Amino acid sequence: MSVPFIQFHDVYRHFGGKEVLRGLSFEIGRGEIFALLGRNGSGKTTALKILLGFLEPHHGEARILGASSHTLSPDLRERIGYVGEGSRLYSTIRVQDHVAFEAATRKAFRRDFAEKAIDRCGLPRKSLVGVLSRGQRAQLALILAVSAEPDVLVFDDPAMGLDVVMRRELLDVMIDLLSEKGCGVLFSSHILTDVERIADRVGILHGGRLIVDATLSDVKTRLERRLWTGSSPGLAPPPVEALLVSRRRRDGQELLLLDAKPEDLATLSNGGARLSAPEPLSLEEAFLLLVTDGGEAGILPRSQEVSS
Amino acid sequence: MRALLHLDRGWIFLLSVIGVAMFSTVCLDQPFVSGWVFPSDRFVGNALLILWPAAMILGFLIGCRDQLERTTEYLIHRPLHPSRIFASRVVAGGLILAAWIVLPLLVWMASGLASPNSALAEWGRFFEYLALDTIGLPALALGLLTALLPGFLPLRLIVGSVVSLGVMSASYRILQEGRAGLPLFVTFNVLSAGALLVAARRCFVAVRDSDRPFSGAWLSTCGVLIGATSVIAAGVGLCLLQDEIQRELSYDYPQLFEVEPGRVELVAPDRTSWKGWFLAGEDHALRDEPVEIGGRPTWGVSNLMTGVNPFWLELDARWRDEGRRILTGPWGSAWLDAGSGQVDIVTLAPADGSSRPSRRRVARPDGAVFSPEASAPEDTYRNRDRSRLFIGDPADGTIWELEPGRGDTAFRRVELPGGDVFVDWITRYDWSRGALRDLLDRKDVFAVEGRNAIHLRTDQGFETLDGAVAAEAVRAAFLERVRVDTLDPVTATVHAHDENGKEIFSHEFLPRTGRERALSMALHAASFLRSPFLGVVSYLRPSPLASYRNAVLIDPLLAGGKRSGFLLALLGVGYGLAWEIHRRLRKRGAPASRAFFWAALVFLGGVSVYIVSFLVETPGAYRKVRLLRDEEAPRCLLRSSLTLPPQPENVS
Repeated sequence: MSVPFIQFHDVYRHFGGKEVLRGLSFEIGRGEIFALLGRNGSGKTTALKILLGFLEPHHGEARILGASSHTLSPDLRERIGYVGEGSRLYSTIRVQDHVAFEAATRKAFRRDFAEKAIDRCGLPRKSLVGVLSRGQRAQLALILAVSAEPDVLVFDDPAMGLDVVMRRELLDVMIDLLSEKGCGVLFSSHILTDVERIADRVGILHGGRLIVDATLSDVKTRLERRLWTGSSPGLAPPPVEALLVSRRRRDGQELLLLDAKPEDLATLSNGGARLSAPEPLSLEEAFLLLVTDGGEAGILPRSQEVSS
Repeated sequence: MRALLHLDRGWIFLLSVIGVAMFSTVCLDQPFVSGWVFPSDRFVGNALLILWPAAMILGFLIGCRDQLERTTEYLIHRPLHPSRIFASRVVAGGLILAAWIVLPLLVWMASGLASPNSALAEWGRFFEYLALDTIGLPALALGLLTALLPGFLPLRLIVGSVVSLGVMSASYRILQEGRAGLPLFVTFNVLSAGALLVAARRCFVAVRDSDRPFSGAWLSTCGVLIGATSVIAAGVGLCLLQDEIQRELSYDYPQLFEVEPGRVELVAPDRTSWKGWFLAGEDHALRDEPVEIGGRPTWGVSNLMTGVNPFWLELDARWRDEGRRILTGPWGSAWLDAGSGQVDIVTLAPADGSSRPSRRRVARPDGAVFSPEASAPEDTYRNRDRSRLFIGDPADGTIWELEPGRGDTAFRRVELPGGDVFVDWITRYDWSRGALRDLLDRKDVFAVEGRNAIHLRTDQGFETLDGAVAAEAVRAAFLERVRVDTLDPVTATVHAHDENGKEIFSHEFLPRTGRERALSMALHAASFLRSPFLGVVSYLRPSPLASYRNAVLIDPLLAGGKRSGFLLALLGVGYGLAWEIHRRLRKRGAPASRAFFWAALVFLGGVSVYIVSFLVETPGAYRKVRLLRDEEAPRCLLRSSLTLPPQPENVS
């Protein structure tokens, strides 16, 4: 029986009176690159911290590499690469010393690989980590995490705060490194264009749970956006099974449909209403439609499970 | 661990250099001679007042190091056991502290090699100084613990400061034993540092999580340890506080004064206007009857209750070398070796190096040696006999003099008038004889208390003082006729008798004026902050205590089975606090066993443990999870089922 590399099972977590995760459940398989998306405060970092045993859930369980997160042994940590929020590293030591520290504390760390990658990225080996730019530090953290040949990589918003150029460079490094490794990756991000370039699957965290847990191709092919114009102003579109979200626009209603069937489209076009052809939908646009209008409990018409 | 230390070598080096520079400056600020030839007690003060806070700050910085750099998660995610990480931090702190202690001493010693007096240096004192500096160990551990404790930083700092006060006070008290107390001092420092490190290790968790309760294992070790430490620390702190209050109270009580033979009265100064002394009534209120007490000492209840010096003066650690006492004066310097009873005259080389330092032994012509009680008057007789060293030996009642500058090779015997024998020196610094000083109205008092009289040093030698003799005689005689039949920090029943043994005066000292009552209430209120358990122990103690300083954790208000009602009230306070925390924790959703644990601990430990419970048991720790029903949960709109590949072999 196969075991997912990463598992969240009905995880709840609150901070004070604020419930952050409410029954989070999802799994990541071997070799998958999973992007965890969500608004600020949606619980992405909390989920990753729970996964790595830095926080304990109030209910449920997170497992990584088959082990419960809050009992991760040093041997298991050896197989998990992690880059935290802001790519925090010791700022008062030099880049090469950080490499030496990693080499001394991780058995599988490939020093030559790391040094080559550092040179390839143009990072000054003798510079203090503290004087590196934010992007360079993120690249270094990424290289250090990957060089230990982990089975699982966890990144918490590695591109946070980077400008477009730095972000692109970081992404290139990420793709470059991951293409050689083939390990399972879970990362959180706000930059959805980056996610589109690198991720196999995306999860959208909203209201403490995943409202989307699908491959990128599913997101792009099954979700469609159309413009609906009623026969008279102020009319709402008729409820159909495929309709996830409708939002007013100046020229009508913008609809987000999931797996729209011909009969759904026919219903929407009845009574003199007009339904446009599907408009191109990026991940960012889908995300915006889902988390700003459609994500609240009770608004959504149904749960859909589709086999890819 | 080596990798971690290698990683930290930058800040280890930086902090070491800063500390070594600072402590070297402190050491070099003291003349080499005063450290290594004639050691003064100043080094003790330096160790306690500079090394202690510095080591505590160091420990705090080490504990906060990853929090400050926000690298806690990065570090915890290393495939290393947390104990190794913690141990590396402790070793790093230990290395820095060792550098702070050892290198400045070596610098100080090296500076002395160039001194013309280096031949007289006692290099073995290096180890004595090292032993004194072990006080840095508990300070370092406490700083670390303060940084790692759960809870809000201000609350942690308060707890750290209180524990610091307790541990430091205990160290002071041990140091008052002088050099004989050094082994105990080192043992205490090592053990207390060990206990604090155990507690700190238990607090060394990846992320401080105030929304989850601590584990039962943590609580059963660390919680109890912190609770016990807080009780002891609070005990020591309260001891200091109550000692001050008690002395204020006892000084407020009127004194006894034999107005005329056979007539004893209560007298007290008018403290509001300082117009002099007045007779006081049974209610301690001043009567409009001034009394001329002159310089005659009277008997005060404060003599019995608290001794003479305030606690903080005793904490000044008069740390003398009882083995080799340093005698200094205008005549020069000498070593009086208590072991051999011999005296060595030490002559330092002048700063210009024109002559060499010397050390020569002088003996008594009678062939006897000085007893360990032998003493010289301190540097008090500035205008008289500047060139002479006097040593009085109460063991055989003799006084000896020597004039080192004249090249004397042996002591000469000094006779007291009337064949009197030496008992003690009386100098202007002798505060217990303040009345005598006033009586003589002289600033350069240099007198001898003989068995029969007081003898004042004059140009012609020692002259007997009639008035002083009378005063002393009256005092001594009167004191012998005063009997106190209670031992208590607040109350005392005093009886005075005449020469025939007939009671001529009796008074029960109780708080009677408003101020006395207020001080007494403050004393009792402070005792309410003590541990109820220790209250019971105090109550069951067979003998009563007069002073708070005699046994730090024993409450003299209760010692010897006194004040049953107060003990019940103390237990009531403990019970009330225990009930409150039990109710609070249960209301928050804590399991009954946890609530009972804290209730029991608070009942035993009292207010200090109650405060600690706020650190440990945070409000959100037991908040119940509200599981969402299916219909109210945000539903997954789009899900692609996960197709799992075959399980790799290395996945457990």
